[in-house]
Amino acid sequence: MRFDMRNKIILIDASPAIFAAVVGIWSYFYWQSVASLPVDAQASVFFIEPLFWVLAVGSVLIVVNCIQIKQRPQPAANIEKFLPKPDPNLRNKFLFSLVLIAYAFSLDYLGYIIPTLAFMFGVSWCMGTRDWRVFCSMALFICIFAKGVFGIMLRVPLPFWPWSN
Amino acid sequence: MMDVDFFLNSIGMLASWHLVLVVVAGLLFGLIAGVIPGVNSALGIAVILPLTFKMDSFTALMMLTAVYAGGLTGGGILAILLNTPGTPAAVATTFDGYPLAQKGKVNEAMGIQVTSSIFGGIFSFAVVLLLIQPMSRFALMFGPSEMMMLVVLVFVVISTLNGEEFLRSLFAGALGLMFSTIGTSNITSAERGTFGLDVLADGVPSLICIVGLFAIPELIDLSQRKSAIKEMYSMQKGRSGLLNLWHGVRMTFDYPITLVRSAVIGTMVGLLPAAGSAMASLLSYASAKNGAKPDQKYGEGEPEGLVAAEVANNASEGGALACLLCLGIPGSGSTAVLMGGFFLHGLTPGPSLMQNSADLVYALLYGCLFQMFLLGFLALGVAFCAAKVIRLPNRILVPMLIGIIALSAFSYRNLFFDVVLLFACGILGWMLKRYKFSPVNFMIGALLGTPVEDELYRSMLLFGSDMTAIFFRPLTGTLTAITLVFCGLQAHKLIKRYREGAGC
Repeated sequence: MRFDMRNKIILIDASPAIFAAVVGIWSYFYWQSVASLPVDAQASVFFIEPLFWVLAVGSVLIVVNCIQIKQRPQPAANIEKFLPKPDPNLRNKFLFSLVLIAYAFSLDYLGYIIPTLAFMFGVSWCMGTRDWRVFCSMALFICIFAKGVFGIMLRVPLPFWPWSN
Repeated sequence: MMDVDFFLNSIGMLASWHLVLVVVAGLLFGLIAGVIPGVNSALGIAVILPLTFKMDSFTALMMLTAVYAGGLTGGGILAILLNTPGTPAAVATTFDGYPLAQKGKVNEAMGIQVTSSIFGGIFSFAVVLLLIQPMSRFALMFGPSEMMMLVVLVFVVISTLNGEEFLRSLFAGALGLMFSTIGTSNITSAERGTFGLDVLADGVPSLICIVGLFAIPELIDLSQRKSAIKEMYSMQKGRSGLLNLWHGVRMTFDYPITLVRSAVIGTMVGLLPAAGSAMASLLSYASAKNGAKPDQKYGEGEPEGLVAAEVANNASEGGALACLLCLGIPGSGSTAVLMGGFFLHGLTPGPSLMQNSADLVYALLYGCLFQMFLLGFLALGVAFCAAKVIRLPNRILVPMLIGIIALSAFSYRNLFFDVVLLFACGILGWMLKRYKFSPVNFMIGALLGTPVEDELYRSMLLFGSDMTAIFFRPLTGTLTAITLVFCGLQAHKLIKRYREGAGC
């Protein structure tokens, strides 16, 4: 994030600042929730309270450190070098993270095979695979691996299908 | 010093064919994992972890350490072939390994790399075998307050290594400690931060947390890259058979001083909690470069540079393992996942491990020595086939690895909720990594938070309300003083930087 002033530029590295602030706020609510326990609250919060203060002070310091005030450089083209380099794939990485969470939640309802194959095909398709033989090989491998190694060798009671639960 | 009984007992434990097969499989898997760009030892161990569920603890640990050792050596192979370090530890290998390969001496470079790795590994495990008893006796002197101060010291040391991000690294450590308090308190049995979910009553399982923190961020980053390979180097270019490879093996011993010096540097750096093999190899390379003769051109394919980097890289492995076994502090992502393997098999690395399972520790260390000899042969074989393995595209690799890791998370407690926890920890780990909050510090906090809390509470009961008394215990006082020195040095550095106008 960048703010232009008369002779100065204010640069804010927003993402780590937001991350630190969120952690600070979470630690406050966590501390409060434990401190308000009906029984043994004082002993339960014994370790959490100092940690909360460390995190609270730390998050403020990090937010402050994420703000940089620079003199406006001459010529103006040099401004670019102060800016943090954006990650062109950031949006995709966030999307991928969301897909991961969705995949994990669906496992409980749909069993292992359906969400895993859907996830694998979806991700592989998005990454550029168009060959049906690759999809078939991946599906075959994961089914054999899950059934053979986990189901039979390791005797893990893996629910393969929605009705296996 | 070494005990003959332990030696004989270890030989007995190691003398079985199935163990040799398991070690060979582990080494091969580790080598292949190391050779695949972006897949590091931590990810390799995470993938293989569920396969060790049904094994006895010794066999399982042998397999995991084999994957770890194979991964470190495999990373070097990739660095030579493609100028792409397969693991962070192989960065220094690229400096002279790749130029040597470009000169058409790919087989010589492979020979040097593998031999140096093996020499470093053997040296460090031999040293660790000699030192493990005095080290563990020293570790037994650590009471609650010492352990607590050691954790603080480790946080500060790691944060100092992170240089510019000192504050963020400390913050990550504190966050890890806070994270560890989720679940039922050992002191009061109160449930904290569980959102009423029974599955969180025991907190977030260490193994799930570790695998999530170190394996998933790598996969998220890999998912956005078609391939980590920037430039493909033809294996055929300098290939003229086994003779060149053998020549490389012999060339390694042309630099005896560098061999020994780098092995000592690697082992010592490995012993420092959290210093890691990347630092060991870079330090060793720098020291070799400083002592270079005028006709030696480092960075342009100097074999001595490759020797220095690779010896230290693998020598750090023994030191890091000793640190894990004696103090229970993992120094890197790979040793953290390895620690997960210990937990999985009901073993807790730390001072008590040597007391309760000395047989197993010795057998493990002798087993690691034995692994090094096997690794030599296997690594040379893998080096020839490496070019094919590294062509496996990320679009196939990433979804399949995620499917397998999800399976391993489920099989830990037979709960799909653990897969959710795994990915949540993974996303947290990715954010920590991306925003330069040290994931290693977070993980150490998350792993050691519960014992630290228990011991802090015990200290309070021992010393009453006057907690300052703990700082007057000799070891605690020493550790506190060292911590303060590190903090002071870092504060001085930050103030200096601030005055120069660079900001923090």
